[in-house]
Amino acid sequence: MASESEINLEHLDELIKQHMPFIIRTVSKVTGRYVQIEHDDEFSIALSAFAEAVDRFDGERGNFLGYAGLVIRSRLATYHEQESRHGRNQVSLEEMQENGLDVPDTHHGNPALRDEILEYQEELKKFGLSMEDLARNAPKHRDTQTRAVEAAERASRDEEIVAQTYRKKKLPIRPVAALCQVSEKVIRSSKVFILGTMLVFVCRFTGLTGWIQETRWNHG
Amino acid sequence: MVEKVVLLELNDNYALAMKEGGEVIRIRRKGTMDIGDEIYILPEDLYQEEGQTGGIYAVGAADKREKRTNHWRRLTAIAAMLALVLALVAPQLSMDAYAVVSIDAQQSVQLTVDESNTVLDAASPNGTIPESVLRQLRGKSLTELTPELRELLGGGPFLIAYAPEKDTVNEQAEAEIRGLFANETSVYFSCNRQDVQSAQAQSQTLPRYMLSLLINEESMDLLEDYYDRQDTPDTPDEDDAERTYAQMTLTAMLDALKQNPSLMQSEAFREVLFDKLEEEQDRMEEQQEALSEPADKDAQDDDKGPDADEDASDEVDEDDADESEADEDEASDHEEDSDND
Repeated sequence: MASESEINLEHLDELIKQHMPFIIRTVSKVTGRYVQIEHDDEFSIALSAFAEAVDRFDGERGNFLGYAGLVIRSRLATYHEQESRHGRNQVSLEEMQENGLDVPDTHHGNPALRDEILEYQEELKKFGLSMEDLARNAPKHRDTQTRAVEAAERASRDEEIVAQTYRKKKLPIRPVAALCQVSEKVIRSSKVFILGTMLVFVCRFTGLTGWIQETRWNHG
Repeated sequence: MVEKVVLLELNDNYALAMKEGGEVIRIRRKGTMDIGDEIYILPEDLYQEEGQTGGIYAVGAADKREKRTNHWRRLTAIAAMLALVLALVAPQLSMDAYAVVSIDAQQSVQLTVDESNTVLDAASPNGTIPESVLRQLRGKSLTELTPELRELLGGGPFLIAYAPEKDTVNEQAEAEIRGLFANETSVYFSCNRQDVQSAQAQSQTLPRYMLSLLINEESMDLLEDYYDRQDTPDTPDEDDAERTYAQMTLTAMLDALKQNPSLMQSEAFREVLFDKLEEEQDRMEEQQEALSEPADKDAQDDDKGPDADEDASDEVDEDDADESEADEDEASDHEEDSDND
């Protein structure tokens, strides 16, 4: 927690980083939904409201977080009022549909990534796996997870292992262990995770690869 | 702690999402959500099942509960199936019937025998042996029938399962069954009446059911967990051992295991054994498919588009590869058997 003397615009970046959970929680409570990582109007407004709170905070008038929360909620309320007023002057979606007009897609999600995930689900099904299985068999330790991702990546580049995986519809533990020069136990204990991850690499699901390798932000 | 996730699947009560690094987790449903959404989550967003007290959703505990529920559901389903099957099987296991002998090779036959291994009834599980031929087997002893059975079943390797109706086993009768096709590649399964019922409930022949028990994914996992708990160290000789085991036939490995159950403690032995069992099952499935293929194939070909043709050719290549592997194995089995002889 920053001391009162540090609450000024000079330390804004550090303050935002430090209070990110608080800002996200406040936005989520007001909107009733999760905050999108990109293209989230409410989150942008909250960040700017937070900066405003930092600039105008007076230590003698109480607690910073209480004040920042108040400013964020107030700015979001103003934004929603403006939006609804703006909306009243517009034709509703239902009216547009009734008149046979194309309805614009207002969802801010990523359709390409969505399609990729649906394809990934189908690919998993070929191996009798589901997303639920991946959640159930997720490695518990970060080191194990990193090693498993490395094993999956290496195995996905080995044509023989890939062919064997698709033929047997399961991860060939022995060859993967030999390829990665680790014991079979290491591979076996993460076999579902490795297989699931390997399929992402083999099928060249670039969006998911970015998530797995934590490189997606570098590629925009 | 804020984390970034991408939504993978939406369920009624929770959603599945991937964290950076590839871990898949469960999170609470909140507002409008769509697959592919990239969002921020906080620790309180992690999904916690009802009835759990505090803390983050414990995957292990929930899994155990889920497994337990599934286990009971499965047991109930099996009990219902057994009740049904019992009604069908009971007449077959009449007063004179002492045991069921089921043999799988290129064809399958299930025989009901008396205590002296005389055939009381014969059935063809996949319907490939005509009733008139099956009728001729009745009244003859199995030892007497061995050459006829070999021809009828299309040659080995043979999977033989023997299930006495009672708990007590006539050792001499069992030894006789075990010795059928003694000079050829064969695998013997000692079963009980419940195995017969379970196999029928799953519409499988008895040997194939026993084989599936051996290589069932769940039992493999149990076995692996058990040995992991034992923390059996990998010995430096494991690679050498693996090469030796790889040269053994499946029958030889099973016989060795019978003599020395501690062999299962060797990771190399387990891996080679399971591989061989899987190969055997693949081979049997291919034979089964080959038997039922001609009728279905034309219809399937008609349904396939130009893209499907490419897939089909891939499948053919894979099947060919598997078959050639199986052929090689068989050839080496025969070689070894003839060496033994």
